[in-house]
Amino acid sequence: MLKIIAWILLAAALVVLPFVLSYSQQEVLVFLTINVLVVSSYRLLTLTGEWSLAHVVIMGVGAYASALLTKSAGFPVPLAMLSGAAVAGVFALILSFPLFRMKGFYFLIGSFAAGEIMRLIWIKFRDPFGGPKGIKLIPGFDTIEIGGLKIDFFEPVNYYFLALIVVAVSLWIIWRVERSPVGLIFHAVHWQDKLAESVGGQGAPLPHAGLCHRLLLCRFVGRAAGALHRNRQSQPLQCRRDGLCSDLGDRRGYGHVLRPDPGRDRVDDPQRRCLARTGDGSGPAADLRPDPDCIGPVPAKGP
Amino acid sequence: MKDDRTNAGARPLLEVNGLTMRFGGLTAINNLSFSVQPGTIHGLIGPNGAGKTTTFNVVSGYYTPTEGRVLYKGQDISGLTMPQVAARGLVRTFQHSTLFQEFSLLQNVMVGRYMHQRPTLLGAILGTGAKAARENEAKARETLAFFGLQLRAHELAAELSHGHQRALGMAVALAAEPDMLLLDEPFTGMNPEETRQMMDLMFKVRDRGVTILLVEHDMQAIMGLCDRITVMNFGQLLVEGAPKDIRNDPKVIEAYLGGARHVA
Repeated sequence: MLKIIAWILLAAALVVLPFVLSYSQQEVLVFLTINVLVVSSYRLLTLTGEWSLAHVVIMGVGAYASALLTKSAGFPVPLAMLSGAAVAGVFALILSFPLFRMKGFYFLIGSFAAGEIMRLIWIKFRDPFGGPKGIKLIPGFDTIEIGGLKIDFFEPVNYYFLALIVVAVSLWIIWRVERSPVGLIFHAVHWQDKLAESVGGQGAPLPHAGLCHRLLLCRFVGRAAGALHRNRQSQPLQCRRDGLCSDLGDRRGYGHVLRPDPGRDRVDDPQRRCLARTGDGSGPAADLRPDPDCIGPVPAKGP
Repeated sequence: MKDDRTNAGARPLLEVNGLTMRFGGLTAINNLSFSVQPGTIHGLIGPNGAGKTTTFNVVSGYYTPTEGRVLYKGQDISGLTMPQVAARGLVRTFQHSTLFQEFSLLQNVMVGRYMHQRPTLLGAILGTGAKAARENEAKARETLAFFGLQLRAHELAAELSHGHQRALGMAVALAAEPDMLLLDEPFTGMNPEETRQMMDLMFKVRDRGVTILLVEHDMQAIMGLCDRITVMNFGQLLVEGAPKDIRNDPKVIEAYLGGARHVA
């Protein structure tokens, strides 16, 4: 009974929480919610006694896949999030074949190496990954309408509840898996892997463990990709004559954030104050041309 | 309790043919051949370092043999992994009390039931397979009862006495419903009463139709249990025969005691 009351109180607190926070605190709350799942899903992998350093990188695979599918393939955001999750799952499953040949410290180092390779690929290949600054101009999550009720996911409170639902479902899945015979085998592999193997306890569970880890991870990967969408909306840059531009319009509640024109450091003429991109805005820096009147809006830089 | 089962006339359940296992320059097993008849208790003995446990490890899939073949039910299983060997019905136990110490007795035996349940992730999430899980738990409890441990099903394995821990180790293996059990030094560290109880358990297991191959140093237990004994020395087959023949074989005495002239 005490347990039920505790759960009800927790649920009530989680529902009320965003309404007592400021806008920026709500933003933090969204990421905090995602990170609960990052940490919790890590537990499932460590049940087998192995520590992976590629955990968060796999999350990145889902996020990048989701972003690219939205931007380049024109997927609707919800579909792109699910597809990003699937891509991360398949990618991690493939990666699990070489990594599961190792254990202990070797697995740790192997997973670190795999993660580092992926990270460097994202940084070094500006096309399509956008280099160190990541992918920009990703289409945002459309407002959805359910029975006359409009849900705008630009609002952090709405996004928080979406994240909360995804996290709650994912945690429930983790709980179910851990308490199942599959979870028992994970524990068994952790404590006495040879004994578990001697009664047939490896043929399926370890690949399962990997897949399971990935699938659960994918839940928040998709979610994280959503957050990425949200923070990288294709808001137009507003440039001023002094070379400072602002983005992130008033819609999200922020004031204009002034920063140096992102194109200035990539052109030869330091006198150019404001730049506009030619074509569709996706070309390299060489395509930038001076904006003679230096007035906005100027499209934000592409990758 | 022991009767002559060596002339069952059936094809050997396990055949080891020309088995060689080298670790770099060290030859742990050298051209070893022997066979185990179904429904028997077969002993594998020899002085320390004779290669008994290495033979066990090769047969059970822990190592891949350098040369030679292991045939189980007429099929070549050399080079298969332990889970693959287990799936064919050949399950091993380990030296010492190798158990899931943090698990309850029931959970230990449930792990042994894994092959028969084949749980899936989707089943775990959706809650399907609950019926199979119940059946497996019933089987696990039945196995515990067979070893007289049913009343302690929810105690932790770490809390058991040494003798009970060895019995639980056998229960985990038996829960997998093997046709053949490989027992690695099951009597180590047991007092005479525990040894006697364990011998009774092995006869009961054998009577259920499970063939047993065991490595053991306790000669009293080996002589009292086995239908046939293979003796190894320096990685090679020294002699093979019935316990009464092995007991008086001068080569065996020499291998253990350093020569017949030293035996008082």
